[in-house]
Amino acid sequence: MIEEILVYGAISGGMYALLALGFTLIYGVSGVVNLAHGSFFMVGTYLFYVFGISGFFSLIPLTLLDPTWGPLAALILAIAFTGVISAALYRIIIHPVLGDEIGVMVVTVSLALIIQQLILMIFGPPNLRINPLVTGSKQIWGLGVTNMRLLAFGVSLILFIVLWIFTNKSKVGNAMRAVSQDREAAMLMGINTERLYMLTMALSAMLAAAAGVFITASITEYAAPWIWLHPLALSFSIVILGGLGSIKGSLLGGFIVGYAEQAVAIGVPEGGSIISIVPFTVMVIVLLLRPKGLFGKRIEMED
Amino acid sequence: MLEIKDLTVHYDGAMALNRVSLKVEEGEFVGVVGPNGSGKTTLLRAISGVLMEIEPGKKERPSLSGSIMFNGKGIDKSKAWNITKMGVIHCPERRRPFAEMTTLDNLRMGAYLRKNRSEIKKDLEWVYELFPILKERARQMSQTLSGGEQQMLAIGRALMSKPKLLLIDEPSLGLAPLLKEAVLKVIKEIWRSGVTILLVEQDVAITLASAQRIYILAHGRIATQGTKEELMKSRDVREIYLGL
Ligand SMILES: Nc1ncnc2c1ncn2[C@@H]1O[C@H](COP(=O)(O)OP(=O)(O)O)[C@@H](O)[C@H]1O
Ligand SMILES: [Mg+2]
Repeated sequence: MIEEILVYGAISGGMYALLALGFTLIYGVSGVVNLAHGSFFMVGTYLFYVFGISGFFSLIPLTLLDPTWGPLAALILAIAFTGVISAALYRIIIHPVLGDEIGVMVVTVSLALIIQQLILMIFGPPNLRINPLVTGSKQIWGLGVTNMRLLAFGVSLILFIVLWIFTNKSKVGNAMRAVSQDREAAMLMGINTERLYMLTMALSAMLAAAAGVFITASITEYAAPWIWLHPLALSFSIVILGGLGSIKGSLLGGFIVGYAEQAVAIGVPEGGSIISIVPFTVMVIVLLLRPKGLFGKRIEMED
Repeated sequence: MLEIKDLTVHYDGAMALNRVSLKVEEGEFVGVVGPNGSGKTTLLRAISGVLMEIEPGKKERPSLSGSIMFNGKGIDKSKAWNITKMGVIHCPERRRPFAEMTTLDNLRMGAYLRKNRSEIKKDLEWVYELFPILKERARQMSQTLSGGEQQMLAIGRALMSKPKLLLIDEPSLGLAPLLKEAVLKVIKEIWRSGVTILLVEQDVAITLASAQRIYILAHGRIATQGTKEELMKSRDVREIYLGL
């Protein structure tokens, strides 16, 4: 039982951390509390379905050359398209209300509902099966773990490293850190914040899309028009328990919630039915102990 | 180089600048003195463009009228980052270093828009020459620096942006007298190297000791302007505005 919690907790924890990192990134850089974050998780998943599973690629001879490239191409396309869509949506409907925090929430929650309706109209209500990108399984501590789940875990680790290098070493990453530390000083350095917010939104949504594809392909195995709500609740609670705007906090928070969910699902009788309240419960417990979250030190922009 | 005409700024109804007109010629060192709340910071933020930028959580933007020209081009509607690109560099009040970056990374942020690595390196050496302490503190987080060191860092960071016109907001704020002198000396040296300077200060002595021409700002208006000698001639100016 412990082995199960450890292995499955790490797998979902890694993906939750990626998801929450996206949410924290756009908040830290642009101040946007993006209530449509879970929607990009869903959009990424559906795009993956369109490109990889629906037979879309049979129209394009390119991937017929080698069928193993199909899922990978679908994954990359799904993530890239989600990035482009989110950047455009940011520019058109979120940026104009940026100064108004409540306005941003109203706009993003509306966006989430619109996306849900669009997906419902296009794909209908039934669950769509999302096939794993890879098949087979391996034995770990006597547990049969699917290769897809191992892949998901490996990808989450790789993306953490890539993201760390990106934020600390690249020019855009430095600009993001500068803006989150002092927005006005950052503008004085010549950082184009308008463009940076758009880029950050794309990156944030791409992380959500990656988490969407990997979580649905490895764990939940289906897509439905309401699969934005749980990821949003997860992001929200992880980011708050980790400390708003803290990258470390989201990383650790993701794993904490991942393990806590598995502990409840596996260790508690009938645990599977109460799993959806785990993230918020963990959040409340953490906030009772540390009101600002694990790494809380709200990035204040006030003078 | 810089020409401001009838600049008026309101914050949410309250007037901060009232028909301010001001000129800075290329190569000049111009000072603006005024007490706390007279509108000095607002003036510099209007010039550098950050005043009018959209920010999260900032519902009401100030209103601005009048014109600001830099080298013959109107910049009052330009984006802050484009104004920086033109070489108008603003060293902000209270230094505002990037707290969770090292001294060196802060200086590198100053060179954000620049490409030529060898020139950047040369300027970094120049900054270290002007402020040797920054070289010692290069790997230290900027939030651990003293107030004086942070001021040096802010000026150094501004120099890394290769200013044509350098706007400096209250560099003497909160510094011990000796440190004020030291910072002022470096500002003069930067000016002598060919950078045009617009310094705003509460500290009258510092401004009189450095600027070629001085504007006196009171309640958002330019009360008077002139060289040190011209200003000192009038008893009213001395007593009311300069407190001398
Ligand atoms: N962000 C702001 N919002 C509202 N009022 C402001 C803001 N910044 C400055 N003010 C007001 O504008 C006036 C001028 O302020 P400021 O430009 O900071 O003067 P100084 O730099 O000379 O101390 C003051 O009355 C101040 O209260
Ligand atoms: Mg001021």
